[in-house]
Amino acid sequence: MLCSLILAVFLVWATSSAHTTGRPCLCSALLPEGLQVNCSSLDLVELPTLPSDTTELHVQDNRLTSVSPGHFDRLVALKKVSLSGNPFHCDCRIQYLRIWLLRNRAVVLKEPTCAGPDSVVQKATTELSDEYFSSCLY
Amino acid sequence: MKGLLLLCLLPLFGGQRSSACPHLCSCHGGQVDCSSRSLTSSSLPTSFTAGTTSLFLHNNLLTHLPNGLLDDLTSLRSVSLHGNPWECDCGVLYLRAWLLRQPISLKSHLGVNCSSPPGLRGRLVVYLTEKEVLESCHYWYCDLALASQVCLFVFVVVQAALLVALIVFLRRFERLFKEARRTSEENFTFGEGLRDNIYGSLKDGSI
Repeated sequence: MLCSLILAVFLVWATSSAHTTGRPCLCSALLPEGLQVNCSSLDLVELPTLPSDTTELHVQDNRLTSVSPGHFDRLVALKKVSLSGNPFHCDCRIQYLRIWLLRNRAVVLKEPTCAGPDSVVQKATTELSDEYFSSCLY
Repeated sequence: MKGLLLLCLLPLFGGQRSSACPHLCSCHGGQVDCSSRSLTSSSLPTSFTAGTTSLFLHNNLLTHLPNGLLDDLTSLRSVSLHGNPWECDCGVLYLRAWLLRQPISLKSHLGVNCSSPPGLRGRLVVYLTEKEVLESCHYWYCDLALASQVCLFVFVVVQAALLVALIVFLRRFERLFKEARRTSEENFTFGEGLRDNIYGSLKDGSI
């Protein structure tokens, strides 16, 4: 318990130092096991580096436009993720997030939607077809 | 006679056994264990028996999974692929596609990370985008096409330079030719004038 508290304090420090502007994410140890990272409504423009044992991640209602490729690769313990309420720009750079979401549907609480480009506004990122990304290969 | 028959049949049985359990691997029922044997992509068995249910390929030196290797194994329930230095170039597409087809609950994709190229090191193979994979592909015919393009460009430039030089020399030649003609014409008229003068003076002298 003490160990997880120390870990939580460290993670609060780590995530806050990763993103110096604004308030830090809140990390709390879950019982019997797990770690909840709450970064909701913090005006974040990019995801902070997250601890690999994160089980719940709440980043809804921020200003994220994309998720950098590989960002969720280490987070193998995730059981709940909330990414909705972010203005994701669904161009070629959203492909990583799309592939990740398609494979991890079970852990996503609410599907994030696209805020642009105009042709796909309000569309869920997982609804975008393979054809939509075909031009990205060239 | 019996002994001879046995001797003839021995390699046959031996052959069957080796096809049942691949060389360098150990088998127990449907479980084929080829883990921690320093297997490379070239020393990996080319096929496994159709009845294989579990295949352990972890902790080897595999860089690529041969295309279609696992396609015929219909009874396969689990495959361990972690702990290998996977190269994430075009050759990783089969592995990626196979991992994507597996239910996430099997967790077969965990630990299957890229070791190269540097830009993709550490990334999980299953979450690579096609664009990322194809960007690291180097087809020899692409290089050939590029070299051909460069050669063609150089050739066109040389042709253009030759054409310009030809035009310049033709112009100069034309100018020289005109000058030469003008000079010869001048000489001709001068010569005629001279003859007229001589003729005139002779005529005057005779008078």
